[in-house]
Amino acid sequence: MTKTRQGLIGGAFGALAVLGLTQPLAAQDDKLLMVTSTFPMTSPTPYAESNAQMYSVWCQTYGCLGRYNYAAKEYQGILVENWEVVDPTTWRFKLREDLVRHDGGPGPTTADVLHSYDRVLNDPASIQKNIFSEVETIRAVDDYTFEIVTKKPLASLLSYIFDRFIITSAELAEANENPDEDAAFGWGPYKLASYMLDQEIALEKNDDFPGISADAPDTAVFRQIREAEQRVTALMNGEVQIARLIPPQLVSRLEGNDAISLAQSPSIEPMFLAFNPKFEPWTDKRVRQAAAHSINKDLIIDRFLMGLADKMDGPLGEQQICYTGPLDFVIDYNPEKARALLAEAGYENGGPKVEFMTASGRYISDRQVSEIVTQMMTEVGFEVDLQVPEYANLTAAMRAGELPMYYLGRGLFLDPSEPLSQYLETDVTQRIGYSSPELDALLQQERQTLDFDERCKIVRQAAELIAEEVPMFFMWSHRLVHGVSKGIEWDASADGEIWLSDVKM
Amino acid sequence: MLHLITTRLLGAIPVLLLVTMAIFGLLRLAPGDAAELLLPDDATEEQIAETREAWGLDRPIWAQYGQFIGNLARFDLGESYRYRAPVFELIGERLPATLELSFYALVMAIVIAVPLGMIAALNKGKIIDAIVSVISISGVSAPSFWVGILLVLFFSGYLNLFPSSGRLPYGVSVPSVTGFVTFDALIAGSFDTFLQALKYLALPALTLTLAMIGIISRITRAAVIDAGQEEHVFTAVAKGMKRGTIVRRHLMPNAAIPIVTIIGLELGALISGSIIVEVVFSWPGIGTLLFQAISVRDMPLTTGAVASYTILFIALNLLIDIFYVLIDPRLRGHKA
Amino acid sequence: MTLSSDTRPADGTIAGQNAAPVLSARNLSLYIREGRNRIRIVSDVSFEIAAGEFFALVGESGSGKTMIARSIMRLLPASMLEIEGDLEFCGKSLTSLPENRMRALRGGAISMIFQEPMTSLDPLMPVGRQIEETLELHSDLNRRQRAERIETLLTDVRFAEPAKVAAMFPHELSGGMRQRAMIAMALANNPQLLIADEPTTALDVTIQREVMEIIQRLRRKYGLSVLFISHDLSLVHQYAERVGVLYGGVLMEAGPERDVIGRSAHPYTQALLNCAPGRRVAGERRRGIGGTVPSPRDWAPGCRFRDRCERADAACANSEIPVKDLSPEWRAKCLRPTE
Repeated sequence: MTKTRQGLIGGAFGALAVLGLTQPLAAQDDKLLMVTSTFPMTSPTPYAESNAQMYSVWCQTYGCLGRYNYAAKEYQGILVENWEVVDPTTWRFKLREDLVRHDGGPGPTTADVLHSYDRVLNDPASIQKNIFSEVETIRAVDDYTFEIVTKKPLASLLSYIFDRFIITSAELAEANENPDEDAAFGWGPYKLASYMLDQEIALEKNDDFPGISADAPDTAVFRQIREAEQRVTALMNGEVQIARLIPPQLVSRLEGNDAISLAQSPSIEPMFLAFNPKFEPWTDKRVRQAAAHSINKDLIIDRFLMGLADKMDGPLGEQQICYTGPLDFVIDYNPEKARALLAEAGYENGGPKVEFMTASGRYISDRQVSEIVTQMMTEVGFEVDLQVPEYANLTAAMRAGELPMYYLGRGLFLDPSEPLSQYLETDVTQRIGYSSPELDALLQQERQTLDFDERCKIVRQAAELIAEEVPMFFMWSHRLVHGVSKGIEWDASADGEIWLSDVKM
Repeated sequence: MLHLITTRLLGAIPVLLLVTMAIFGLLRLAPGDAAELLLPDDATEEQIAETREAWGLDRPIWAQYGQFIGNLARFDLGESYRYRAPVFELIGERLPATLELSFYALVMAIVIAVPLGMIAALNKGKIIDAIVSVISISGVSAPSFWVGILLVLFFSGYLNLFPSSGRLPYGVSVPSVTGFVTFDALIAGSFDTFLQALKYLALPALTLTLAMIGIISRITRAAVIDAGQEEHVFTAVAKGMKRGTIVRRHLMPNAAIPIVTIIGLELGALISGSIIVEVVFSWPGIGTLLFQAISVRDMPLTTGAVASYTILFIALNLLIDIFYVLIDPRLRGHKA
Repeated sequence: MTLSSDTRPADGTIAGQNAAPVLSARNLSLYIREGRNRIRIVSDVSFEIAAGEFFALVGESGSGKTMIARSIMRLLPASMLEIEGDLEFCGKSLTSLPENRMRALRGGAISMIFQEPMTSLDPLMPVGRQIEETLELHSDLNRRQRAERIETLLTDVRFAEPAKVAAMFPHELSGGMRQRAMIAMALANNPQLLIADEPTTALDVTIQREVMEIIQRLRRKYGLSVLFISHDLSLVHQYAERVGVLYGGVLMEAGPERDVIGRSAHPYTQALLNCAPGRRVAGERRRGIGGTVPSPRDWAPGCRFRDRCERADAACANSEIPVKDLSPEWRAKCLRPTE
């Protein structure tokens, strides 16, 4: 080829590239990580959603106070460098001073914290108000120090806010009408590069973040793939490098594949059966215990869930805060005892008729597990009418306290304090309709006990009580299985989310 | 013709009103509401009540409906509870994707099914006729989402020929002119992107096509057989015309009328089928939007999406009626 | 027994009577195929049409006359209609003709017009274009010449504005106009034989007359032979030169019109004529023929008409009824024809 032709072609190509009409060719050492999304993104506003993935994404981009490191089992600050409890209702936080905003602006200040607090409570798009349900106010001490004042002494404050309080810039909000869309700059280890609602979120590494690893991906893309089959196919095709939440029945397809390794992590979403004492026959504790004794959890876990679940005896499993070992009171698999209890309760000639509601497809194998449970209960004498309403209908009825018995999971169950209160404390909600002054007292007390070990003793007592009274029968928490391409190192954590800075490529 | 178009457009208004009314009613009557479903698991009852109030969900049903109609009259479809963005915008962004998918599915279906039906009709009673019958019946019987997943497993998972979901690979984009990624890619001169877009279209469009091939080919076969028995075909034979010419000039134009009719009817199936297919393939169209909207009782978005589908359906049927008038001179209204 | 208006040439001669026959059928049998089986619907029919002659084939519905008309040009494929016997056109065999040669004849030397003008023309194509199609096939006129020819043809069939009509669609024309257009189309390539399958049955009486006049005039002008299929005896009486009477797929009587219709020898012909409205004697009820036409499946040996015949006896059930020659041109298939 003559020089002129080469020049022409090169020039043409260059021109095209400038016009953005050719495909962007990734630079040689650009590390691109494609992962499947677990929740679709519905809005660029960081306060508009409340699910584990989006909290994780916003924490890594805008930044939140910090995160819970499941491997190290401790809270670690992202925007804050330390914190302390000043008095029973006051927690003081100190912001880092070594951070630079993604557009070059200044690091986070108390003004930003107060602005964000205001947005959480008052932004019309915000659905995160509940994180401050126990908070009285937030006040400034100086430019980098602020205090959070709780309504009552609250030992579990961090579980409410630490990795959920997203800090956005007050300055940018003032200068832009739509800062979330036009000026999405934060202080986190990754920057929000682009997004397509419901489809895709792309994050780029913030090379200026102190201590960011060179092995971490330069670009990470979360792709929304709804069907589990598709996720597996996409992983095997090389379209994604991490496919999350593989259901047990598809795991075998990936097992023999040399290019893929399976990462397992425990989860913090216990699955439980609820027996509402406001409905017959569940008023009688013996009947509740009988139902619990009839269930062979080991069999279900081994044979049906392919071992991909961690059995729980009560609200405290290994992943939960305050876990110190197995409980003393355990309801084991004992059909004889179940029948005896039923006879004692007056059902010697055929057990009670009960209605049992479950979701289908919302939790791993939920409907199938319910069918197995139905079978097991029938064997000891219950007459079970299993119903599978649409999920929205199910939750509506559950919240209204209309369901006598149901099988459900409860997510974000790291610290048991808040969920137990929600389900079992008198008059907090109608979900199970259980009321015990003894339990109420324990729960209130533990909330206010700021000393960690003391608090956990009380939590254990509550757990033992719940295990015996069994208004909620804890079954297991599923193990999350994720498929990972060879060449990617990722330690899957219990919330199933990906902390990009820890990923090695 | 103008008369036809005007009557149709005017007739669309009561249809839309009825449809939106029905959706509104059904969603309100269904248990569960958007506030409960969209707020997180640990939201307090007060927060749920607050949100409900903010969205007007706590007012009596006739008051809500009144406001809804009032907004509708101003072409205000409201704001989606889930996305917190105007419904109009959301739908406008997603509509081209749905249209593109439907367009290719329909074109593929016609291009495959009509010749198949013709071949079956012209070889009536022979083996090829039976083969086409079997294909048609399978197409009619198999549910689209099942077919879709099978296609993915085979062509994408096993053969690695096509991607499994989405519309374009990460990082690839084209300046939007028509909204159809394929056309826009050609307009922008990027043949590579055009091919890629086609690859992503292939499996979802094929899923929809297979569902339609069955009935279109069967009707084509019947229409061609019927047309072949019409008297003027004898006249054409008596003039000494060759079989092929008769088929081309006299048979097919006459058979086109029932074929186009059935295609018009199939459009309904195409549109409803596309919702499932979009969900399975994560195709960014109105279907996924609608699917999600219903699960969280997002009334404004559900209504907006269903209204869009209704309008689409009416528009397509109008096009078909215009097509009839163009090909059938008997509909043009002058008599001797 | 004379009927109203007699339009035959006064001297009783028929043009070209002594030339070779344009169409001759000898022992023609037709079978309809149903899968493996075939059903005989026409048995052993023989007749001839001379050049320029108007030959009428009459019979009730189901007699097989339409099938004979369609068999001449092999309009139905062999898989549907089987032809046995001889069919010759101007001395050349039609039955052994390969398909492409047959196509050359269709619309060229032989053409056909049909009963239902409403459905016999393609509703989606202008009339002129449909005529042009046949010109394209059988002539090498160029575009302009074709357009001129179409105008001439349409004028011939008495259209006042031929250019306008050529641009019209069939539904824009009345029944009579459509039939006239069909005639124009049939005569486009100057055929020697025109097969008219009940062309006026679907038309009003007044229009019927118009159409028949046109056929007659064009026939004389171009020396055209006409095979006229009908069940309308008054038309046959007015225009036919020779007549064949068909019943149950069998030619019962054939000969000059004045003999077959005027005098009639076969009991079936006589019964038919007695049914005709014009024949009714004042005060008498019009007589139908008792019974119904037997379906081809029920054909038994012997005379097909014997169950309905007034003169039948046991001998009529014998296998073969002889054809009796009543004159060199007139014959009847009966044991007891009257003179």
